[in-house]
Amino acid sequence: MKLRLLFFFTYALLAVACKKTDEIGPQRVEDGLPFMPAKSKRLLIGCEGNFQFGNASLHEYNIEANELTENIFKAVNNRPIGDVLQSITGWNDTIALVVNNSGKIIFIHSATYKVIAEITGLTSPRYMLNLENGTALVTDLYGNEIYIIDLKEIRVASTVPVYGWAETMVAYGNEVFIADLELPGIYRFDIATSKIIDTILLDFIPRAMDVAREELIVGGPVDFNSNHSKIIHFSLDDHEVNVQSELNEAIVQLHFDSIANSFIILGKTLYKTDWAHSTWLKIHTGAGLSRFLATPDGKAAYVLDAGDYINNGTFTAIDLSGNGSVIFESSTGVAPGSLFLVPANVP
Amino acid sequence: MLLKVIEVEDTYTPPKSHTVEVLVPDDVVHEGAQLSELLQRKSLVNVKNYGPSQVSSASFRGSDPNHTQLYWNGININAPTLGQADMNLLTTSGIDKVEVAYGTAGNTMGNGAIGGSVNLFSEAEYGTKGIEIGTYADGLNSGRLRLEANAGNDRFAFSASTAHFRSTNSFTYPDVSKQPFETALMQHAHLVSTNMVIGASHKIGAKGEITVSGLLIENERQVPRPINASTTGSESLADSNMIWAVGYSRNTENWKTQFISGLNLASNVYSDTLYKVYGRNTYASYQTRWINEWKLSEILALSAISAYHLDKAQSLNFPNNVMLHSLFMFVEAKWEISRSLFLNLGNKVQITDNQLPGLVLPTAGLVYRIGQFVGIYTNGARTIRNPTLNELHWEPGGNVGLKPEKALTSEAGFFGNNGAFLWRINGYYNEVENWVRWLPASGAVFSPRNLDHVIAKGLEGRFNYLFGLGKLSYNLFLNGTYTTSQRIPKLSSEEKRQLIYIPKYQANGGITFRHANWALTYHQHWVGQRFVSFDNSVFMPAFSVGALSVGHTRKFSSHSLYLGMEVNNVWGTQYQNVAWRPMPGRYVGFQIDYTYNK
Repeated sequence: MKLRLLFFFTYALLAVACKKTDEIGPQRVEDGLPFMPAKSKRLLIGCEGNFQFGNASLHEYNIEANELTENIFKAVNNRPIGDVLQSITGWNDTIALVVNNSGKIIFIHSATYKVIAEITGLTSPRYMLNLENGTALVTDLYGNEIYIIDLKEIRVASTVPVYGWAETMVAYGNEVFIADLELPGIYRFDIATSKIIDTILLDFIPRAMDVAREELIVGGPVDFNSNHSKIIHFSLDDHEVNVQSELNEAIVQLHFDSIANSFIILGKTLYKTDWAHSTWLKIHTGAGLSRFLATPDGKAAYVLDAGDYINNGTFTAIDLSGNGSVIFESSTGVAPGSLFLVPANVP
Repeated sequence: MLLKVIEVEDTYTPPKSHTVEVLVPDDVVHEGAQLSELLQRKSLVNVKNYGPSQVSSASFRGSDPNHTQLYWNGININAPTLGQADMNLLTTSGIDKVEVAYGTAGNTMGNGAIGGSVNLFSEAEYGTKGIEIGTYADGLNSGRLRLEANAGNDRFAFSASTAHFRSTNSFTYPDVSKQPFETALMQHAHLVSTNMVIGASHKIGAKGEITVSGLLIENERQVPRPINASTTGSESLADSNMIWAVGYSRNTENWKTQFISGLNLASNVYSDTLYKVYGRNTYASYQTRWINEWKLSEILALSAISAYHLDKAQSLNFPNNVMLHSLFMFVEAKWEISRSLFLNLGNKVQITDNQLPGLVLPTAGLVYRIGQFVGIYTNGARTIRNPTLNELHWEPGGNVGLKPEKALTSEAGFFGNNGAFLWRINGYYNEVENWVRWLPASGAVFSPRNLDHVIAKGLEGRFNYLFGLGKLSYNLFLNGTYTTSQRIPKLSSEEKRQLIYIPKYQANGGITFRHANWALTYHQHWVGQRFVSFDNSVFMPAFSVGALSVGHTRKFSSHSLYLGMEVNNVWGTQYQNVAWRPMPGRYVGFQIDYTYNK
């Protein structure tokens, strides 16, 4: 009995001991081949291109080396992106390019930039948000609906009707705030039920949104042609408007920097302003500033200037910890309008 | 003729309705080894290791590392900021016993042990005097010096131990981030570590005892960048912990009481000179715990535990100093219905100053003995984990609106023990709601959210056999587990996916042959495939690592000398425990221990 047990345990140990491990690092499930890592510290710059020219472009900025590599999508895939690259988002090793006037979303690999998949036939897609449940939301300019994308099947699973031009989105807890510029107002979308559960009506166009300190901060011009904007802080607890401010420029983007405890707001100029918007500090100017992205540590910001939207624009990296001094500047494609910081060390 | 009077102590204890392993350093894991090594080689805890002596975390039964609570002499030593402890910061030097409490067994200790708890004990022993000097060196350019001393009489006991460890962790590995693979040398992985444990105990009268103990941990280490990073160099971590515990206990026939009061002071400094990132946090955790057990009758006992924590922390990433009060109370009745049937029923109350209280968190267990050596058991409990200070206040991204994670833990199984053959086979089912996950929020800022509903279930088996065969004695053990830990999809079209870094299969086993003063040990642990992406599209391959050791002990009256040699990773397996963090291949270690006992 004892000898038999000894043999059993020894056999069991040797059985596991002799299992040969051929692979070492991360492997892909789909083909069992080694997963090649994404390069780290990269920023993608998307350029809309000229409207109806089909010359949207994608560029890569290496943050550590301060180098810009132009037209990486075309170089890898030997084909154009399409017409009007509106926005870029990504998760895991996938990057999604939302191509507005081509009515499509192109999915590329974050390390190789090779096309993985494509969804076509959308009316006029604007922004995409991964809900982390296997689906993503896509807003649309003319479709009067929001698409719910099945990310496994890469197809439109369903749609949610909205009043008009659905634009930017912000996820917060189990909800997503979705701006409707034509309403104008903000929908509260419940992720679990995929339904709009409430609408916050506004008296200005909600072009810019962020969530901070349990408040939804919304900014935008009072109408589509106005250079006068409003900013409100809407409490998510008691639904009261806690702060209200104004700016004599059309606000297109805002971001709360929780380390510096201040907002970065893009109108015609890039500003830094405090929580109550009592002081406004100009940190960058340009002929046609279109988009910015602040780094998570609040030390730098990347700013796009579309200029006249006809010729090539510029990309600038600025030091936010100092006085906004320029770290790097380069020309880009036509009408740069989207930025995406590629997560390092994926997975 | 007068016969000598002998006192016979009743050591009968009813069988427990939950799973607790007791681990001590032995021939499989030698004295002075890191806690992570002890857990990986001898328990079914899932150890995630960034490299030898690098950051290491432990998780139970498909749970998260911050569902594991680490206690030393009753004081919780998890960082209240991060909510977890680094299992490589502690060594087994000065630790007399390690209890690994799974599921329900762990969450009777306090907040957050949804997975389980690891309970370390350092106790001064009465009536012993002696010293021990241990040295160790291995092929990773590592060296350790360990000194232990104890003294005392039958009323007073004192012990002190210190271990100093240095390593450059130099080893070659295949750099699989490059194609074709290149052989590279691990660099920037230096470690300097000192652990010190002191303890004193004094008996007060016939029933009482007062104890004072201290644990000091100092670590400075470089964390090399993952091999797929585009830059070389390292980050630096400097961790310092000082923990003090003062306890008073009194044992009478019908009442056992123990009061422990302790303070855990720590500072953690992080720097990355290349990217000019600097982080620093300090915290103080003041804790008291009062444990009472009343024997109400021969068949009924009642126990009550109350614990209070005050955690204060400062960090460059907190908007200001933050503080958290928490109160934990647990009452449990243990009823011996018959000599074969045992029932325990209890309830926990958990209150913190910024969360809704958990007032009804019941726990229950049942054991039935089938004959003399075999039994069946089951248990279940509800528990919660309150958000950590980082999850609440970290700037950027902290979310003060986070809710506590709520969990159900349960298990059922069979066990047997005939003195030589110990075994346990059980299944478990755990469910966690409001599981916290850090996700991209605004821009590139990550923020924690109560996003997931996770169900973890699995099977565990443990076998330990001790027997003699001629002049040889053998000790065999084999542990294995199967785990699924999946997020429940919010949409029916979504697939259930295994959580990242949770292996479905994990096993370890060892055999020790002893003859005269010689011991030969072979050990193997095996970790199955683990997904490293949330969509389960990328996985880390399974790995299996063996170790062979031989030791010889010479005794000369009060002195003894131990000489040992171990071949680690004896098959030279090249593997990564965490993606892009290579582990060493085969290397040899030597150990010499001298012991004097009066």
